[in-house]
Amino acid sequence: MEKAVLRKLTLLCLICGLAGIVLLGLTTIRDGKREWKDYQAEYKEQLLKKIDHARNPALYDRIADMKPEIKQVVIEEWGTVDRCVTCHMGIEDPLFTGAKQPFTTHPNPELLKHHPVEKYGCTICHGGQGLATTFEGASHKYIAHWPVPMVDKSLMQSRCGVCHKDYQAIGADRLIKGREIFREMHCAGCHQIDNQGGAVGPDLSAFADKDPGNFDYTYVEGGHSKQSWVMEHFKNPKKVSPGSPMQLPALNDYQIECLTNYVLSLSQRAFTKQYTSKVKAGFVPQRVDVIVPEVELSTTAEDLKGGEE
Amino acid sequence: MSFENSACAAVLQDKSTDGVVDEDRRGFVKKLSVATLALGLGAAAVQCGRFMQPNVLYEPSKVFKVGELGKFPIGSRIVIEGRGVEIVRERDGMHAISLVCTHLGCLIKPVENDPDIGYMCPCHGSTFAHNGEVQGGPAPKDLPWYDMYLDQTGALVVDASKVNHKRTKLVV
Repeated sequence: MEKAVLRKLTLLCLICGLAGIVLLGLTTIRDGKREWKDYQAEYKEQLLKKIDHARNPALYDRIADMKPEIKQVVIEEWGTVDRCVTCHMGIEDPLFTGAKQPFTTHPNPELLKHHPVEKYGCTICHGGQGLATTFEGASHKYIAHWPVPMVDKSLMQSRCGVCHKDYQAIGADRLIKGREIFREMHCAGCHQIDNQGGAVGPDLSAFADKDPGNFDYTYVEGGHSKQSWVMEHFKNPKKVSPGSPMQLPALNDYQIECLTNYVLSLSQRAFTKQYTSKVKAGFVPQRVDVIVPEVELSTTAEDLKGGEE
Repeated sequence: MSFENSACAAVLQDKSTDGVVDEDRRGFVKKLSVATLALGLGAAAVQCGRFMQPNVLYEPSKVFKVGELGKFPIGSRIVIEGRGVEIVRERDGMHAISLVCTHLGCLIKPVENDPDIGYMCPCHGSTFAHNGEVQGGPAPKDLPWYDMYLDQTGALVVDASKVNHKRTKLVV
């Protein structure tokens, strides 16, 4: 082989080798630099300012020695692993009331008292991707192709309803209203819930458990999530599911929200049973009417007020 | 990048045409190649090592809250379900003791109203004193005490990743 060619090859090898080293170095740096590490360092700094060494030296020293680590809540019975607390470290700590995100305390500490993070985790109520350790990855905002986004504030009650079927007891006004609308519109004429109702449309008993990946999002304008699908479906069933015989009178936004909350709370997952005495759903239709009646939905002043909120 | 056009290449080309072999240059290239290889392999080995030590495992945290202090009155012995730990509060302080038998890992049972025996293993009958010392049976070691502290919210926290070798009680 010619010397010139050999030299070229030598140089090429060297350049590739050096480039490889630089890339490896970059990977190491990138691997070590995570946003949650910065948050934990900031949390530590803030917490040390808030507690007194003299009052609880053991705690102070422990926090001072705290090393960045991924924190997680493993809920074996539900098969969830929530790492939200890696960043939301002050979520149960009254000292962080009013602090900025992600350190701030839960806005409803009373509710959290009954649902300790250590026992229930976060995603059981809030949705999102519990395993993620980045803001984007946790699905705080809609991300394309991630079908289980965090639950919107207006739909929070749908998650309460997964376990709690006594809506009055927990004061879930939207669920109560949603169930009322479901009954008023005779939805049970076509849809079954817990083996009660007609069999024209799909069974809704486990609607909350359905895989969002199996929905057709072709005609959905919002994000490709089950929440958007349901909302838009209630606005215009024929548009979202072409060919569907489903008829719905025009509902206002608040009514759609309530109905969405209700259907998204219908779950049959085994773990919910231990929190729910079998039928407290209150939904026991007296008579099954398979003909869809023309319903004039009563819109009260209260509904309109709710819709404007 | 064109080799012939670079100034360095031109100089080297001249020298080689004279039939003189530049040993310094050859040595330098050799050293550089070996160093690159060594660095690359080293970095790859480090990253592989990192891979073998995951940041986190799919298991419940070893540091867990067991409740407010008020839940544990003086003289109480409360077993924390699912954690294999008992919280004992006495007049002079409190401690968290492991309820996992040091023999084969069975969950041992606290023995009530016995001045000598505090715990007994239902599997092979090992017995332990109130402070966890082995009294009898096949258990080879005493029951460990875990670190425990009160956090800023007033909740009692057990750190089962750290054994309290000195067996110091938490004074509250």
